Amino acid sequence: MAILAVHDLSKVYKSHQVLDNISLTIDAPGIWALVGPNGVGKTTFLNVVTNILPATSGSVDLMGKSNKDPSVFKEVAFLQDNTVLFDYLTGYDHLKYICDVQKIPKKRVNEVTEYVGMEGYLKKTVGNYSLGMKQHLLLAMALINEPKLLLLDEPLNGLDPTSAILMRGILLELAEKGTTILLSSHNLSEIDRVTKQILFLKDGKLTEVDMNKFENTYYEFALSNNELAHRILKERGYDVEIASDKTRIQLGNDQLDKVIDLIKGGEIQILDIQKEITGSEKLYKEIFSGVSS
Amino acid sequence: MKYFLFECKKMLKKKSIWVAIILSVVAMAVFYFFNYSVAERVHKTRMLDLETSQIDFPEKLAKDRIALEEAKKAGDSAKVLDLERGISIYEKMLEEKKFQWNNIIDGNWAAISEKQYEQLNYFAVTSKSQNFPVHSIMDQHVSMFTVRASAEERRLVAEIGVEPFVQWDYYAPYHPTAYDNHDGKVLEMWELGTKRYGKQGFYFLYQIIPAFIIPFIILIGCFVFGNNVSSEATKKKRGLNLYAVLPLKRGQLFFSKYFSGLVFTVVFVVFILCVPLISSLFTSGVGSLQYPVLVYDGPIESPFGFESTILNEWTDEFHFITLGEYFSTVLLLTVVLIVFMFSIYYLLSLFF
Repeated sequence: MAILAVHDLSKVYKSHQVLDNISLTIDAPGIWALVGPNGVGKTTFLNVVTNILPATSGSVDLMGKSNKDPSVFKEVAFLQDNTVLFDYLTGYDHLKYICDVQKIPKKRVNEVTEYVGMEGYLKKTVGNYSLGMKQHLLLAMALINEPKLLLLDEPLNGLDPTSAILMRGILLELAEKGTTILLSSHNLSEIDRVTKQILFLKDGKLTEVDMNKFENTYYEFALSNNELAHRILKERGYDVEIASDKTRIQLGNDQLDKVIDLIKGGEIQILDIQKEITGSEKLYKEIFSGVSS
Repeated sequence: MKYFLFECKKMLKKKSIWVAIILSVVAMAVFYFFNYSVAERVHKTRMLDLETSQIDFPEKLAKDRIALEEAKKAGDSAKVLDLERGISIYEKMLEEKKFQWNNIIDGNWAAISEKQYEQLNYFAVTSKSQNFPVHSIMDQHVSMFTVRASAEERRLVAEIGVEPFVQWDYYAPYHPTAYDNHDGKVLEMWELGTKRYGKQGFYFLYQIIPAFIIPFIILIGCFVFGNNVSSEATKKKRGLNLYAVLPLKRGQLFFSKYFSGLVFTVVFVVFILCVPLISSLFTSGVGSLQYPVLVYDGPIESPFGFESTILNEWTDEFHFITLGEYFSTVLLLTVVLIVFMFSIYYLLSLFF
C-alpha cells in the first residue's frame, strides 16, 4: 500500500493548466520537499491532494484510500496557511474541536502544546497571536492526531530562528518515527537541512530529484601559501580555484584527510577551513532560470 | 452534536454578532419607549381634558344658571328653553367626565369599558333598529361591522377589567376593521382617532406585529447568523478548509452549521420580541393575555350553498380570541417563517 499515490493528476484553473498529468508515488516514510517559485501551484497541488480543491482529472490515494473519503484524515494531516484559523477562538478551542472530531482524548491537547511549545498562549484568542504563534498552533493541530502522512504548506513561514530550529527538529523526529512528510517551502537552505528528496514543480509538471546525486561539498581553506597549495593540488588532479585569498576545492566524503596531508606535506599552514554543501539552490536556479522566485 | 455545539460556540465568541444583538436590543427598546412616550402623551392629554373640564364646566354651568334666572325674570321663554337644554347637556358631560376621571384615578377600568360598551352598543342597536348606521364622521358613516365589533370588544375588556389600549377617541373607542371605507379628511381623522398605543409589553407587541416587524427581525437574524458558511469561504478567511482536512462528512458539517444558525435565529427573534416585555416591567407591566383579539369570520353561508366574497357590514361575523391564543399562533407561524426565510437565505448565501 502506497502512502501517497497520485495518478495522472491534472488541475485546470481559469483555463490555466496548473497541474499537468502529475503522477507520484511515495511508499516509504521520509521527508519530501515540494519546491517551486511563487504561483507555480504548490499550494494548489497540496489542496488537490487533500481534496480541498477538486481535481480536473486523475486520482489521489492517501494511505490506501481515495482522498475523497474524509476518513483518510484520521491518519493524514495537512498544515495549511493561517487563514484557516478562527480569530475569535482560542488555540485550545481549535485543538479541542479536532480532538472531538478525531475522537481522541483531551489530554492529547496538553501533550501536543507542550511538544510545540505553545502552553503560554494556548488559552488566548488567535486574533492576538503573532505569525509565529499561529504557525505553532497550526503545527499542533497537524500533529494532534499523530498522522502517518503529514502535508505542510510553507511551515516555516513567519518563524523566528528558534522556532525554525524547533520545527526542523520536530520534522526530523517525526520522520525518524516513521511519519511521511511532504512539505512545500521557499526556504532552500532549510530544505537542504531536512531532506535530500525534492520535488520540483514547474509548468504543472513534477520532477523528483534525489539531491544526494547533485550535492556538492566544497571546502574553503585559508592557507599561509595559497599559490603553493594550488600548484600541489593541481598536480594531484584536484579541481582547485583561488578566490578572495582562499583556496576552494570540491571534495568527496573521504578526500578531506588526503588533501590536508598534501597541504601539510608542502609545509603550508592551515589557518581556517570552511565547509559548504550546495545542491538544491544551484539546481533550483538551473531548473527555474528565468522564473522569478 | 459536538459539531453543532462547536458552531454555537463560534457564534457566541464572535464580537460582530454581539454588536448586532446589542444594537437590535437597543433599537427595539428605544422603539418601545418611544411608543410608550407617545401613549403617555395621549393619556396625559386625555387626563388634562378631564381635569380642566371639571373646573371649566362648573364655571360655565354657574354662568348659564345666572343667565337662566335672568331670562326667567325677563320672561324670555325661548332663551330659557335654550339655556335649560344647554345646562342639561353640560351637566351630563360633566357627570361623564367626572365618572371617567374618578375611575381612571381609581384604576377601575372595568367601569370605563362598561360605559364605552354601553355607548357603542347603543349605536349598534339603534342602527339595527333604523336599518342605517347612526354614527358618522362628516357624513361618512362608521361601518356597522366596526360598531358591532367595537362594542363586543369593549364588553370583553370590561369583563376582564384591564387597562385598554390608549386611544385618542375614548368616548367611542372604535376598533378599526377592514370594513371601514373612509377617504379624504375623514380618513385622516379616523386613523388618528382609532390609532392605538400599547403601553404594556404584550399590547405593544400586538400593536407592532401587523406592521411586519417580525419578518424584519427575522431578516436581521438571517444576516447575522446565516453567513456561517459564506463567511468562512472568503479569500481572507478560509475556515472551511480546516474542516475539509478532518474526518468529517460534508453533510454533517453542513447540517451542524445550518441548524446552529437556525437555532440562533429563532432564539434571536424570540429574544428581540421579549425586549418590549422586559422594558415594560419598568413602565406599565406586561399587560393581560386575556385581552380580546378580533378575528374575522367572513360572510355567513348563503342558502344557496356558496359563500359570498363581498363584505357585508351588517351580517358578516366575527369572534374574539384571547391575546394569549393570538401569540401562540403568531409564535408558531414565526417559527415556520424563520425556517422558511433562513433556509432560503442560507442556500442563497452559499452561491452569492
